[in-house]
Amino acid sequence: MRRVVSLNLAQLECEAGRYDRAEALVTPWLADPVGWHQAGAILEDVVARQGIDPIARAFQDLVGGRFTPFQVQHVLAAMLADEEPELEAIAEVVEALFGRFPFDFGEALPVLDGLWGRFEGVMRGRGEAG
Amino acid sequence: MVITASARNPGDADLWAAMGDLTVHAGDVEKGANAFKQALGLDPDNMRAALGLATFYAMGGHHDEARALFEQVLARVDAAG
Repeated sequence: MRRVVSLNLAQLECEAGRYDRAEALVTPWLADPVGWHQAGAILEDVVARQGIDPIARAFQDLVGGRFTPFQVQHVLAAMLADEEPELEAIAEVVEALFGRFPFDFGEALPVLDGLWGRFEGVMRGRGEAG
Repeated sequence: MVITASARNPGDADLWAAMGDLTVHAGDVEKGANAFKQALGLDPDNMRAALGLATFYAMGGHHDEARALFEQVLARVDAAG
């Protein structure tokens, strides 16, 4: 019940412009096996409404030791956006993900599905070029 | 069955809350909200009814009312540990 109430309340706080309160309510659920998806979506909304660059925010969070699907997806997106992606570093991040969370967020998050597709495409391109 | 039971036990807040959930799931959200209000009238601490009514308010755009109820429920959940 705490998760349902916290996330519903966070959404309302976000819509009311109380972003600090909204973020405080979603933070405990960002890596929760059940609540991470909704919590991440609300945090995306909170960040977007404040005009914050989500990638910069994700890197800042990681430096601060916060490692959740929100940060991971943005960091991976940024790494893949480079013209010459550092595939070894990306592969390390991807490999680390599978043991990091008690759920398979790669399959559950459409944004990450897209990232995996691009990652595989880049890897195939490298293989063919090599 | 719950509807019959709540009619037979009009003083049972849990039954009214259960009827609210069932009625909302059946698609009649207004009737469900009324059942939640009945439950809360009998037992202001009924969290199931408060959560149901808060959700009803949130979906209807009554955000202040929804926030107040969600805050109440969260405070009770926190207090219960």
